[in-house]
Amino acid sequence: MKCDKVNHTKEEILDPGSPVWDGVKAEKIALDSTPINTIPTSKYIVETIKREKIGKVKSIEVKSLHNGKEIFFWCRWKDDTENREITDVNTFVDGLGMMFPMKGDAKIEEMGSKKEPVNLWYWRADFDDKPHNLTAQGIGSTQASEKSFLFSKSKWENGYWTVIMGRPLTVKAQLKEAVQFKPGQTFKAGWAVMEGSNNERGGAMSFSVYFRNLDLVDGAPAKARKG
Amino acid sequence: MAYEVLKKADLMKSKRQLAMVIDLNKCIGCHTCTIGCKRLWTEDEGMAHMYWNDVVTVPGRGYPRDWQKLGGGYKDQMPQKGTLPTKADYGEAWEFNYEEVFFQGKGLDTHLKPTGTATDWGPNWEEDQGAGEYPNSYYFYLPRICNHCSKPACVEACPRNALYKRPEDGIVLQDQERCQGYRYCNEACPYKKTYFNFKKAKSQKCIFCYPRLEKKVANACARMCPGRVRWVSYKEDKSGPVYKLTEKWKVALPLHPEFETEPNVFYVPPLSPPQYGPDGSLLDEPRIPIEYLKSLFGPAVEEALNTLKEEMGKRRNGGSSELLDILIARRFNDMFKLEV
Repeated sequence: MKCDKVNHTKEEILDPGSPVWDGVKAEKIALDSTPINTIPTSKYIVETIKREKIGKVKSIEVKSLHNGKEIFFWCRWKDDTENREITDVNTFVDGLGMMFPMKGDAKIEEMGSKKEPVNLWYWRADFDDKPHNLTAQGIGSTQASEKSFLFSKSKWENGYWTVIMGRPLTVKAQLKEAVQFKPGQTFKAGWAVMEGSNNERGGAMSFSVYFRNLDLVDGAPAKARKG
Repeated sequence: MAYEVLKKADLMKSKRQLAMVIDLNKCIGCHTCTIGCKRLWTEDEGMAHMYWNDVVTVPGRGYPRDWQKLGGGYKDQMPQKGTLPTKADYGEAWEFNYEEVFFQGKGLDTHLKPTGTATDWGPNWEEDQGAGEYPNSYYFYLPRICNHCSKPACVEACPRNALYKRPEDGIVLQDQERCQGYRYCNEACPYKKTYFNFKKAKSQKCIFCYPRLEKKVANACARMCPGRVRWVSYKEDKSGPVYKLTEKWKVALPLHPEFETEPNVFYVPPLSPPQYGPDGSLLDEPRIPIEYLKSLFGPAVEEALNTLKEEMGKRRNGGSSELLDILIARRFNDMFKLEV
């Protein structure tokens, strides 16, 4: 997918209702349930959760833009239930994850490896639009960074979540903890959705099965080029 | 720093195991242990429903409500599906009409009562109810903490390896930085002794008072107990009270051994007076049915009770009994052997 350059401010792009996104082509990405029965860090999960019961959200629409300073991902998926708060011991919230390999040929279903770490952006409906930045070097190894440079705006309306997550293109303070974007280059990205009403959390979710290429367009903003 | 994913077997290993014995013949249900624990560890926001130590009257549905029916643990070594309790199973804290009674001049015609939605459960909800028909009704008190199991289902369940046994003493701890509040541990623990903190959105549990133990001071629940019902020592230490009560005299047993988590909290089962027959004569049956005790402590309970009776008989006849000397606990500090 293409990540065009636009001449808008962070505030303009981060608004889920912003017309900035109207002309951007959405890519529909199919999601499938995670291979929960091979999770090496919980025999309990392997034995008690059936793969066919998880991964309720089957697809997600995504768009991407950058403005030369920050990068943004617009994500939208169908969800009949808004699970924004943990209201009881047995209730779970909706979540969205993005994964970026930081080095080499990391495997999405293995969440990277020691040699090929991945960067995770973790939005959850109860995080007050302050997504967490994590790294992983394999399943069970995810570790949250002390500080997150991620930002988001989200809304649930008429049975759809729209979440825009973004970050400065580069984060010098987190060279080992965060993917560093550079216009003109191609990156890889993957998506995952946790459906709270289906008790999805901690490995139980739906995911994009393989990484998609993400081409960061350099040079003039999209509109200017069209004109 | 990258996080090193350890094998579950390594997270469950410990060189030694601190353990506790609780004598149910001596517990008077005063809840001093519960209050001692609560004041020390679970007074913060989000922890209201957390009783790392609780005492309930049994037979009963317990705390959280019906915890014995919520599954979890293992069967033939395989993890079993567990169900999460709800807030209602812990019981919401009541608000009372203090304002009305104390400050609105109505003290003579209104009484203190809960306001808002009535709670229908809480810790110690069934105090002194028990079971059976008069004159053969019966009950006893069952104090419970995390069992710091040798095969902890919570450690097995956590996909983030947030739970682990301390290698030096086997205490099961939950790394609050790794915990993401997924609640698989709450599901998997058959004793329902991990709790969910709503404020922090993380699970928390009994820490066996390890900061006190590191200063060679016994656990708050044990040290506060006016009935002197709790012993603490390393399970392998042959000179310690726990070894003597569990291995030597075999009078202390784990709760629900069929959950297969190998608890490290053991109970001396309760003796009870004989039942009355229809004509008022004393029968040869104990008031607390042996089948009920077996359902809690397994088949070994019968022999444990026989040993207790035999040793009590010895003392009654003027003899001596190491077992009874331990159980009487004349010197409080003899109950705790925290160094090997």
